[in-house]
Amino acid sequence: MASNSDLVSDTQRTLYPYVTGTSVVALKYKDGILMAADMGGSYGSTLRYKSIDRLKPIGKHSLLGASGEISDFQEILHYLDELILYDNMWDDGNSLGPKEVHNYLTQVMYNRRNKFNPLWNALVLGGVKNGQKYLGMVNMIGINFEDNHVATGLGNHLTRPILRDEWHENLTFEEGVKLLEKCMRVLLYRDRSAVNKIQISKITEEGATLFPPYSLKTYWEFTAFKNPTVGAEGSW
Amino acid sequence: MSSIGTGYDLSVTTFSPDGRVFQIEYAAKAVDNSGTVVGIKCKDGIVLGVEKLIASKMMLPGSNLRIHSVHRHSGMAVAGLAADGRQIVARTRSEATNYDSVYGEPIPVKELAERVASYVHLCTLYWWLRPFGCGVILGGYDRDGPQLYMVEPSGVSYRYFGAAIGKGRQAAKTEIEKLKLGDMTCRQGVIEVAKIIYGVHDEAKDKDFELEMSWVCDESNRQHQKVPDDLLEEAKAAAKAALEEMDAD
Repeated sequence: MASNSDLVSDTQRTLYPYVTGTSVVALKYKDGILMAADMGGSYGSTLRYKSIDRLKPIGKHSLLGASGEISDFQEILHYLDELILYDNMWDDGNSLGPKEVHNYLTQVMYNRRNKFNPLWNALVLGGVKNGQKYLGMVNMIGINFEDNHVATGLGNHLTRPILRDEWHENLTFEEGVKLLEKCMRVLLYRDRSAVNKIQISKITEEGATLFPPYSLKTYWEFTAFKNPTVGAEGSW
Repeated sequence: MSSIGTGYDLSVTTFSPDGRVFQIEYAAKAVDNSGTVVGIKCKDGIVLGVEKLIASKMMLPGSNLRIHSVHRHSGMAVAGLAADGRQIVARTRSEATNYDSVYGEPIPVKELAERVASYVHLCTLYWWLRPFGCGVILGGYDRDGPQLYMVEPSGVSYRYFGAAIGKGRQAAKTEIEKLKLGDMTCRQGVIEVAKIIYGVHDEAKDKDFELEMSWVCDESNRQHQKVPDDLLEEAKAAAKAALEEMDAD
């Protein structure tokens, strides 16, 4: 029986990603959501692009962070742009909140997956509307959930444990940033696709703020790094 | 100037012996019988205003909007058959988003007006379609500054400094011609449009009306939006005061 996947030839379907962004980490804090990502775009194992913006405000109430295929992220931004435009044109005093945008994205991602033509991304959607904070995630196979802190890619393995230990309700902005920086530093040390140029953005009831990119301070004087093969001659 | 078409007015694909298409003229009559719609181009933007005749006291104010945003930078005010107007607005929005998808920039107002006119004209070419019974005043702000266009049911579209359609269009046009639009900002323009609409409203013949106004100007960041509430109230108050002055004479 012919299905949609047979009708779309292989050259028209996403089979593998080309230019990818690495982890996005986000957490809820007292006034809203804090989200962080680095600005790298890898072309396979080459760190080809170093100024890619992976955090974008969506409408009045949400922030979107993406990891994975950058071109698919741009396509998603295009869809969301039209969604927000039509929402604004109703001119009825209402606007789409983070929960609605997250649901929309989940529908898009899951339906594409069902057609065997996924958008190769893991998305983090956070926002505040009418005092309610919301933080969710959806990935290329349509798995979606919301939580107090989320991360994509390697972030899931390296930073979620840190967040589980150290996150608590009502973090201040400074505490939140410090926690995010700790997470990003771990990723910088251990993720080969990470680049030392990170962006932090926050979203509160007042709106979204994207802070200018900066570099994390790193420490390379750990004794274990100095003579790494001292315990096992011949290894690297 | 009405004349009976007898026989030549049954189809939009029939010309009369004197070269007129009566169906299109009848469509224009639908526009002429609707509430007045006014648009002006000021120094820094466009102001659109509609005399929205209220059919029933049961209607909620703010419902049945006659001015619609078409994209971030432009909007249109509709006169005539409301349902026909909805169709035109839907099509225009689709044209605007499509252009943005393909070319990556908001559709130039001139191009948008051409597309609206083209679409309206399309429906005058086939016997199995009827012409739209509505006229549209389209205002937008692009790289070439603020622009105002009017599209008639015949599919004709021109660019204007000031335009009016509907019941009170003759009186409205006279008032607009008195204004020095080149020196006016949109803030002042809003007051003037309110005065014009209150002025041309016929208390005797028509029921109550609701004033609906929108603008796209430097002050609104070149976005099309409803005129802010406080300015709208100020405009209504000025318009009512001007009316009383006229009555007192």
